[in-house]
Amino acid sequence: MSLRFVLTLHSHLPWVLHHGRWPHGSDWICEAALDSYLPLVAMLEQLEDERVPAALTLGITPILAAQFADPAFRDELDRYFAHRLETIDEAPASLRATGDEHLLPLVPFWRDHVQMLRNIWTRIDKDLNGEFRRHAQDGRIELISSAATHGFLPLLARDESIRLQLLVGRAEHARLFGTLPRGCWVPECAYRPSGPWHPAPDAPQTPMRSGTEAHLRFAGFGWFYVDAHQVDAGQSFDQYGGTVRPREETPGQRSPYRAYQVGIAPRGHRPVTALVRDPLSTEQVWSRHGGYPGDGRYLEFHKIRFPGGLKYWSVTDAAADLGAKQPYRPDQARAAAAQHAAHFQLLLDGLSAGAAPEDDAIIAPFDTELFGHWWFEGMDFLRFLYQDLTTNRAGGTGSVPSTAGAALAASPPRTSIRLAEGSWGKDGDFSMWMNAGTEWTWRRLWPLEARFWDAVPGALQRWDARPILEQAARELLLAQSSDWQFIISTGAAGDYATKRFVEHCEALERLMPFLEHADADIAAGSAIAAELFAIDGPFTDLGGAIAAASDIRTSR
Amino acid sequence: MNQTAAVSLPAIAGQSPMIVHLAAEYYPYARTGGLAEAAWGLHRDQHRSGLATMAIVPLYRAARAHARHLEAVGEPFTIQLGPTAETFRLWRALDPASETPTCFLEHEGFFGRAGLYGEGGVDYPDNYRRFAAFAAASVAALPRLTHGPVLLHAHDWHAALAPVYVRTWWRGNPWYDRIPLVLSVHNGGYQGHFPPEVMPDIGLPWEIWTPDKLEWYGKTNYLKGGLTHVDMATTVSPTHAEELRTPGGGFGLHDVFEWMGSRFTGVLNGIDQTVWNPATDPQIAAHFTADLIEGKRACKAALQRRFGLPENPFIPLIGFIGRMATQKGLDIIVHNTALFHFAAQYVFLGSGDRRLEESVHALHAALPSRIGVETTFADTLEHEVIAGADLYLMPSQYEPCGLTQMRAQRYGTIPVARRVGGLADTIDDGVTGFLFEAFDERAVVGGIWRAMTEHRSTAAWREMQREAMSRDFGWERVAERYIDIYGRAIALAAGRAA
Repeated sequence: MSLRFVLTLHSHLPWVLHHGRWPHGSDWICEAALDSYLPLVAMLEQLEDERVPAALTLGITPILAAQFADPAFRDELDRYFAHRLETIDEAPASLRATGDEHLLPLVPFWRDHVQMLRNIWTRIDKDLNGEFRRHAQDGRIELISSAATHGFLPLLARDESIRLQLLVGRAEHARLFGTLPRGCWVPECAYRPSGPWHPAPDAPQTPMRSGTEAHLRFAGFGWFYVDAHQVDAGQSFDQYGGTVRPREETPGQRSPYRAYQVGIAPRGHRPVTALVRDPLSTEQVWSRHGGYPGDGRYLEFHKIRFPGGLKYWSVTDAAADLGAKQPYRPDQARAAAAQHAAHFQLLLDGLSAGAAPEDDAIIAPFDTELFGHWWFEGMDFLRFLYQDLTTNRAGGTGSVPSTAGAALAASPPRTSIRLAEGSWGKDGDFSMWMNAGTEWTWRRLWPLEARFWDAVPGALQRWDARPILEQAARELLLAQSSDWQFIISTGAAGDYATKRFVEHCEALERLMPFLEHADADIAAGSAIAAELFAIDGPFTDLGGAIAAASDIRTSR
Repeated sequence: MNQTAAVSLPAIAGQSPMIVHLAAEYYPYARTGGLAEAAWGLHRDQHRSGLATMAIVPLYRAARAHARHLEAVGEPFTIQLGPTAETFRLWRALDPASETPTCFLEHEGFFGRAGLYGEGGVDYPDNYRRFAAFAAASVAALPRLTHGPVLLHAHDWHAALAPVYVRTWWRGNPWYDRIPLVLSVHNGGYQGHFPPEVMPDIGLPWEIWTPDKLEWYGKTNYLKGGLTHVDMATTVSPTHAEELRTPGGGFGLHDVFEWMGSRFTGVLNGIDQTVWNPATDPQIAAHFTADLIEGKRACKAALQRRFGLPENPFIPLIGFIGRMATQKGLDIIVHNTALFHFAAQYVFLGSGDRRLEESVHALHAALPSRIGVETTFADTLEHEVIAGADLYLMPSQYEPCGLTQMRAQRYGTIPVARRVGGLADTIDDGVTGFLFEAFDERAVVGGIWRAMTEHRSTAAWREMQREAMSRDFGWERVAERYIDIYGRAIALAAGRAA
């Protein structure tokens, strides 16, 4: 038998527009656009031209889509392109000055590459959302959404917050892409079942809380992704450590190659389904040790030449010191990508060969930014893979690419299970987001959640206060981005993440008095809201979503 | 006539009992609200399924228009109702407009009036006696209907004393003692509260004016009397049955409903799916089905024209039909600024509280291109609104069952309703409609926002319409549930008689 192959790319960056440029700020999204998003567009275009079905499931978080739609992003990326081409123009002189003439042949390579991407950028009218929407409307890919700002849902103190994240996420997707997704990328695959909630000794007291699936159902989502360990379907993969976490095989362990209904849906309600990340295929692509990106022929991500910021070296040997890296050979790297694609097809065939009759699909979700940004040739790999799967060049059992929605429609879940709490992060739990270095963020956020939601019923009754309320919601959502805790935990740009988190909390604190007091000066509050909106202005029409999120049956 | 599969009831004394419905309202003879259709709909399905049945209805002046071919059932008969003897006559409809076996109880003094319950917004002062008489005389007349056993099914407070008379006046009579007694509560908010002094007037002994029988906060409570004397009681939805057991939702009778335990249960009403069928409905602009939905566009355009709204197939059109009353949620609509900021059209159909009617007319005056109003109710208009609207709004404070949300779903009109009573039981949130929790403006806005979000996607909306239109709200499944309930009542009555 052959299993369906469901490749899912999850695209996300936090709100960085209007909050600095370099080293942290809008350059992040520009870099990701050049490294991953525009190469993805290029790959989809090429496969479209070749009439190769690329049944990709593409997640774009609402906050990323909001940035794609923001005129500031277009301006920033134009500037970024110009600067990048400028540095390429300056590169030959710079290389000669340091005696690195042997790297000169790579300069035209980079110029052609960047020029090609800029041509695409111009051709798609600087509208990434529109281009992805076009592919989705033509049925080549499936677009899915996520929580509005990629909030780490299990650690939010109020169910209203979780609902707002998901309601806004789905509605913004509809506004920007014209379709209502059933699929949701639950941030960090972070799930918690219904039950008591006490993530920290000093966390607010709450009544029994609903499981993540209930919130997804309320917001209109039908399925989401989980890691294998959450369904007891195998080892979990530590993508940040780059290893598969050893896990004892247990009798009756579930197959990751089929979907599971999460819990029992209330009578008449739509079930919510979990798609399980396949540990084996994930490891092959992700692992820095045994995985493809560690091949010596690929571009070395970590070694960057300054001035200019271009990369000229290959991985050479994953364990090698940066000084020992050899010049990059694009032709060899491209050949490696083709070989790895063929190998991956064999891996998929192997999984199919060992599949049980009830198995249906190999679910392979990755961060989009892995392809292109971290693994420069990743998009080539995917293009070769889709080509191989279409032609079945390897002559195997022939895994068929499928979108997640199509796979679920063809093979709905037949088993209902209770999911374990967990995420796809380090140690499979929440510790990447809740640890000694980030606890303070939650202690600051939780009371703010309470302040906001306690003020909502009164604030919604005052139509003139609506802009203040909506901006307060924006700041709450932005403060809830899981990125801040993640970045603090990795230590990569901790100061920036700390600053951003605090700024959004402070913005919310500035607005709250205007919502909490009936005699507040609404004009003054509206002026502050307008000032903040100019900086933090993603999402529209939040009033209805706030109303829907706050209408919750609770004994609180 | 449709004939559904034959069903049978457990025997009483070796014979299958006749089911006798007592109802103060009965379609099409006497109708002010949902009771008439509910009692009739259940009875019609029972009759079609081959059960022996009968309905007894007061012969109101209004009912005579529909009941022309009558045959007397025996001679006039007299009962002593407290201080006076009252004479009644029982008539059987020969060609009943209801398509069900129907008898009328005639008493010109009590029922030959312009209204059913009152005139000019004022109840008749002798309602306590009129409906006690209806109950007592109907019970007395039962042997005229059959020599075999009877199961008595009373509806609402107007008939609720019938079980009391069976268990007091006729106690010790073996035929009456064997009668299983069932009471349906269609609207627990109406209980028939009267001063204690009515007890001798309605011929009931003071011994049962006690907290465990008819006494209720110093008054005589007909509904409570019925509940405390029946074998089984029902209300019109499972959720409402639970609500009635709570202090906040039991209208002061929660302890009685709680006391009844499993003898009190909720059964959803049904709708007539032959009348409410968009594929055949003669009262709508175009026919449609779940697979061929295009006709609904024509219905929407017709509705927009009818209410003077710009014809626009894309703007969501939200309908409201019902009494303009607080219970129906008008208070949380009419001053809801956020609600009317949605890019949507609204049509309101119904009458009621003058203050609310004026508010709705004021809305229309302020936003004539987006809000249409009709305060003169007509059946045809009801069909037109249900067929032409995209969304149907039911923000009820409470709603024991509700019928319009079921009809709307059959027409692919997605209900947005509060999660109460029958609305909670007939609308699947996010699948066939949208439910909200709180009874306030914010919650209505949240519900409409969710619906409007879904409406953005044609595919998602069609999926919801298809689900909604596929739901079966027919009487058949209701009648099946009642067979179970009657079976329990028969068993309980047998135990009591033994």
